[in-house]
Amino acid sequence: MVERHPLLKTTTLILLVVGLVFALGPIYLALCSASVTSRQILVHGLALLPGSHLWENLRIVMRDARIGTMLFNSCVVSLIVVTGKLALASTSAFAVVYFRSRIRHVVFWGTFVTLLLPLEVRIVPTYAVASDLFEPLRRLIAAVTGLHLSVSINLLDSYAGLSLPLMASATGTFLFRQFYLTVPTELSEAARMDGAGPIRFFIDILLPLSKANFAALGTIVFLGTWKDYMWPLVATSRPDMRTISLGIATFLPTETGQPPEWNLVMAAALIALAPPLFVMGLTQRWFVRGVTGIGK
Amino acid sequence: MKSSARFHGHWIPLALGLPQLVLIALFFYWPTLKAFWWSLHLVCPFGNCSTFVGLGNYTRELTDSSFYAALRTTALFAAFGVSLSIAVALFLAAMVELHRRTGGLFRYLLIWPYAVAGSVLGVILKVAASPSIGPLGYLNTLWPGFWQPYLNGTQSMLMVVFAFAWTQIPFNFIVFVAALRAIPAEYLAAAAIDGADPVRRFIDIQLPMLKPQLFFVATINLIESFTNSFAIVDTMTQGGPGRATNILAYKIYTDGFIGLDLSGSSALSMMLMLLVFAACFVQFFVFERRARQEG
Repeated sequence: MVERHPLLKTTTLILLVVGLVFALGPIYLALCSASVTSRQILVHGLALLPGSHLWENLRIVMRDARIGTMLFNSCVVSLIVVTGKLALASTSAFAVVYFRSRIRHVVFWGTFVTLLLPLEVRIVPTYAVASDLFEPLRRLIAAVTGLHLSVSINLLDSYAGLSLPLMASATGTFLFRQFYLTVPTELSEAARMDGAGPIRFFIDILLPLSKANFAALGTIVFLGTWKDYMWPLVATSRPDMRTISLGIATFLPTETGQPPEWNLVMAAALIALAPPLFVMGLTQRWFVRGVTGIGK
Repeated sequence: MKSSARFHGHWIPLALGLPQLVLIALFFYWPTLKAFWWSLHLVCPFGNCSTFVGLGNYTRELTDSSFYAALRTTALFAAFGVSLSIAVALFLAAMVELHRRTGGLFRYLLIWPYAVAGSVLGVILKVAASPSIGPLGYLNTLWPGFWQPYLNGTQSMLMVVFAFAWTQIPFNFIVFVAALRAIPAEYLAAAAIDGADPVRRFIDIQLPMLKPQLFFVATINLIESFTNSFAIVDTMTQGGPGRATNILAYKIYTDGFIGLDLSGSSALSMMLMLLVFAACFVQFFVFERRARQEG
């Protein structure tokens, strides 16, 4: 700020603290309520101050076999999607930016249109495709040759099914494209003059330059996949294939049965939000760079 | 880019782009075509038989009162959710910018909610909103029977709008903070010398310069409100009470997977897709125009 406004400074500081209370409130509430006994919650309501039973509650929840499996599934799916998306986005952006061939327009527009087709609007037919992956190929073969094959692959309830539909993305490709466009053209000219082919240029020059981009996109994709709810909901029916963001809802008590153990529900929520929060806390600089890069 | 900087050949770019194009064809284009085909046919519950009905499914949905209810809910949800997330994020970003040197901790912590999944937030807020154990239950000791989010449609709508805004604010905040930092300090200093106080400077300099980001964020939030609100609605209200929070994306899911009405659900999909098209188109149109004016 240019001049001194002590009153304004103080007011805005107070408002920022209020904003922070709202931003971290749900996390804080989960932390407090996960650290008291279920009896205390039933008698006094949700805890607004931390108690002393946090480790005990976390241990009880971790002993529940479901949560370990879900955490493992979330990690596997997120890592597959991050790896796949980084590979696909960096290579297709390379094809879009660094070649003269008309094919680059096909790659660009073919990818671009996916922005208009979010998963939520095509959820039912995408489920149908995942349950019978070869249907388009079978139809094509039947149309061309008249042969009716009976090969089919069902991707539901598998890691491939959970990750493949999330892998292709326009945003990732655009992020890399934006970055490649800022790389000085002299680099590729010099590489060509020295007799390097496109693959050598990509591996030896472009990839080392794009490290920060990989970190930025990797963080965004990791968080996005970890948080995804709708696709795991339809693509899995077996409880042991659920991811944590999907499975967390199964910790909510059903109407019948025992008095609800809200402290354990909140402990499970804490476990579900800890890994992505940890990842973001560590990589926030790259993450922010990635988000502002998409915004350009 | 200069053409001397580009490589020759067709096979390598094809091979590089093909894996992603194949995945896109399989999981984006083919399902969309399928939805379009289903929307023109009357399909059996498991999709193994069908009769062509033309626009029959569309007229069926367009004469169904539950479609208009869902459309209205979607519009309300989008309007309140998007304006709340933009207003709060803008407000926070402007205040953090006033504390440019000391605001680092806020810049760091205010982004944290981005890491929390909609479903996890839904579960936490569902417990927290409970009239019997949640903090808002105190309202009922003041006015008995006031806070009943699972019976009162307005209150449940408020709840999901709040949750949605909470998940969107960090992204908007990052974009706004970056944009505010990019404004040259000289502009603000010159205005200050002319006697403009920080509020006036925000209204007359910073806000107009944020227009492109405001527009970008509004479009992203709007599309997210059509689509990404699903997890929140599913964990918190399941579209209820009654149909008070039954947004279009949720109706597509329940009609398709629970009602097994593939045709009707696909017709709804096509219509929601049109809404997304419209949002993107408007953004593109305005961005194009801006680019042309600047260029």
